[in-house]
Amino acid sequence: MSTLTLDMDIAKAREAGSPSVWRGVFQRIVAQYSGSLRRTCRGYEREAESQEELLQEVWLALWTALPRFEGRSSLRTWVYRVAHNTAVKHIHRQVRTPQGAEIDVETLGQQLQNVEARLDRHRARQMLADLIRKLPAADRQLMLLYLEGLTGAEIAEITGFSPSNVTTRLSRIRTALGRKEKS
Amino acid sequence: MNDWTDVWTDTEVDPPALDLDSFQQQANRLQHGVVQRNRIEIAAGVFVVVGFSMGGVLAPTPGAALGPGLCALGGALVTAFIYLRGTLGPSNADPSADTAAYLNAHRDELRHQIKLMRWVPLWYLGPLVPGVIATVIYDFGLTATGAGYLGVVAVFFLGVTWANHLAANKLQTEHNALSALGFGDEI
Repeated sequence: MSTLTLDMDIAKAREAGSPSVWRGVFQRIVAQYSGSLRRTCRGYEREAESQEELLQEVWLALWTALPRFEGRSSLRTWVYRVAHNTAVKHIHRQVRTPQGAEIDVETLGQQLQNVEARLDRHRARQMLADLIRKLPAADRQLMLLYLEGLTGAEIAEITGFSPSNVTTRLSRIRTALGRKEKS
Repeated sequence: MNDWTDVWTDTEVDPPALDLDSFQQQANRLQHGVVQRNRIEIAAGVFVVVGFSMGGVLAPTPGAALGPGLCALGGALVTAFIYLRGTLGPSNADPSADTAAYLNAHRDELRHQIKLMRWVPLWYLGPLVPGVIATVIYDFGLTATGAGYLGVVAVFFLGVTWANHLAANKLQTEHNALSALGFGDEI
């Protein structure tokens, strides 16, 4: 299913204004983004139950906001904006109660290097998620968007950081993940 | 060495079966709740204004009408202020804005609410003071009993001010926590 046809369906839904058309569009968004949004929630919440709760919040936010989607950004950045804003608001409610110690991106990188050889893929993913959740909110969002494969420009559009700020932060993230800088 | 992007995205997920009717109901409930709260607040204001206006109209002398009349006027001012610059309402922060803008909008809303709460003595209690004083002086004159009644009202107003002060402090903590999330800061 291409993003282009989905964008066209949204344009049609806006013209028709019919709830049933919006439902169809939303179901397609769910099919396309359920994996990445579930992973996003994993980056914000540790327990499976809390992840599910957050995911439901995200779906509700997307469903409520969908009729106001005007196509000024791509659907992809729009979906991630709504999802991350919902998640950041969600964790902000927890920030008011003391949480565990935060780490920076460099520490995350060191910890990944120390353990990666000993872990299978599933445990490595768990370890990565555990470390991501310890990052400060802004770095956590950047890390999650980077891991989902969004470009620097898209990440800047989603976070509101300047492109140069994103470039600097992504450089740290790539180094932490042991990846070579893109020339 | 792991390619962490592959590790992260290498998960099979079946799309969930979502109950859109339930989503729609939740969205409607939220909207309905906000509308109801605003209606109740305005209705309470109208009730106060009408009640004191009736008291003023039915008063036997112009002197007796002064206190209720001023209370009705004060109530009308407070109600108008709530209507025009109300503290209740859905968040105007656009969830599809970029995160920095979204959080800024939340901070602006919090600052607005904090300001309203800090200034409660001026815009909420202040307009009612002349009416209360006029009523008590008319009923009891400049006596110890009158002073006692005014003291009780003053303590009540101080309590309202203190409660709002505490609520504003709580919102200030929330505001600070939003700022501490680190969005909108250049590195």
